[in-house]
Amino acid sequence: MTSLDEAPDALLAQRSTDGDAAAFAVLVRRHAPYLLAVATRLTGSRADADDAVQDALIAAWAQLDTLQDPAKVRSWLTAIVSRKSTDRIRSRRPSSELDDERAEPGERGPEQRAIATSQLDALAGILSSLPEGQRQCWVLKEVSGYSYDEIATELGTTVPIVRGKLARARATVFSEMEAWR
Amino acid sequence: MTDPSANGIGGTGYTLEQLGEYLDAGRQPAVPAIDDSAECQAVLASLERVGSLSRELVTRDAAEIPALDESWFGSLLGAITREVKAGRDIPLASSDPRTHLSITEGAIREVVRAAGDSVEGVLVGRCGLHETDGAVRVELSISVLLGTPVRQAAEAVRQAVYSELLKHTELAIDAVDVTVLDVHIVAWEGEQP
Amino acid sequence: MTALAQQLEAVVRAIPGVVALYSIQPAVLRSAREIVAGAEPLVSVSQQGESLRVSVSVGVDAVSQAPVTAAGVAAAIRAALPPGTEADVIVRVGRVIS
Repeated sequence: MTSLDEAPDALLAQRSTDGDAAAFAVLVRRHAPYLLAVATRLTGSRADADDAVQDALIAAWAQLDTLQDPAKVRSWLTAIVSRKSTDRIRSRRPSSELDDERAEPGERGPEQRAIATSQLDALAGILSSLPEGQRQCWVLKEVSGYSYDEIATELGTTVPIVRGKLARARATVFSEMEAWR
Repeated sequence: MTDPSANGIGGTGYTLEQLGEYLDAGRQPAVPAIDDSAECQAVLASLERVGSLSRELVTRDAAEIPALDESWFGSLLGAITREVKAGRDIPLASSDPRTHLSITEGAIREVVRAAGDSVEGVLVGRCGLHETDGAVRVELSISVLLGTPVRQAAEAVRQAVYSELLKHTELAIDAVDVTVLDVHIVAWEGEQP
Repeated sequence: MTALAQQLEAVVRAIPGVVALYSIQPAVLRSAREIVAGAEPLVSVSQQGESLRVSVSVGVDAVSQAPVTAAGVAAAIRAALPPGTEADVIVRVGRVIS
């Protein structure tokens, strides 16, 4: 018997929709690291990311009949994870974004201080140094592929504010990545 | 945010912010001034590049996460197996009018999957029961391992499914329709496009 | 009622071919933190007018025929009830485990 472990996403998603918990478990193990990475970039915290991803996977199991294309199950899971991550972000602080300042050079964390040896490292440092709201808009736009409307809904804010944050984030990333172009 | 050049990027009058929004809108509706400007196209290409770098960064983050141990998955997977997707209750006969026996659709699908999976080189995809005027038809799709003779595999699946359903249910099965979806390679290759 | 439910649960688990018991009404779980281990009664026993109503959802081994195992569960439940008890017994096979 062919092992489920090696089955493609689409087949596992179809079986999961029909109630096969073993197939869903394979999907969970396969995609958990990626989903954790997205949630960590969004929430800024691995602990919050763990909770968001676990909640998302339990919710996903119950909502599998809303999955339109079984082959796109990872994107679908990423969308649910993004939603659970922003739920946690919203419950942490009120929707009015007060702090829009970048951390001073002295206050920045290890990823931001490390000397970038590659474009990816440079981008990682810049994203980590962005104010939280700008970083969240960036991740939802560039990684999860959300529209402005969707980002505004997820973060509990308005489209003009989202556009403003994206513009500022882009300006920062664009100018600081200049050295790598 | 203001663009240092008073005339926008490449003298087109468009700012970085506007180019970003143009990109987000899928470059529609088309703006010839932007599309025909080499400087604007260079900026758009850079914006696209940082977008794909962002996705690459998350993929790299994922690869660097230390292996998750069983306890991470434990409560989550426990919760999932408790939530069995039952579907309808299909009655089973009982001689006692006050005893009601049934098997769920979810359990029947499990029987179908196990029967199909038991055939060498086959993995079942979707399966379901369809009833019209008391006639029950079982439909399932299978994926077949490269090198497995497809027709024989489909027939073996049909017979295994029929025989297992005879064993575990009292359904009068009219037909077992097996659709071969695709041929699969052994190992999952990693990132799906 | 709870003592009887627990006794019936033990009876059902002891039947050959019964691999697991599931809750009759699967709860919708909202988060991993809502899971409370072992708190749910797995055999539902309720009073319906003059008679009892006993319900259970079981997972059975694929080795034996599911209808036979289900009938065995119902018979064992009836045998374990106090003599002369009027009862409706509902047995649902929720999983057939290979």
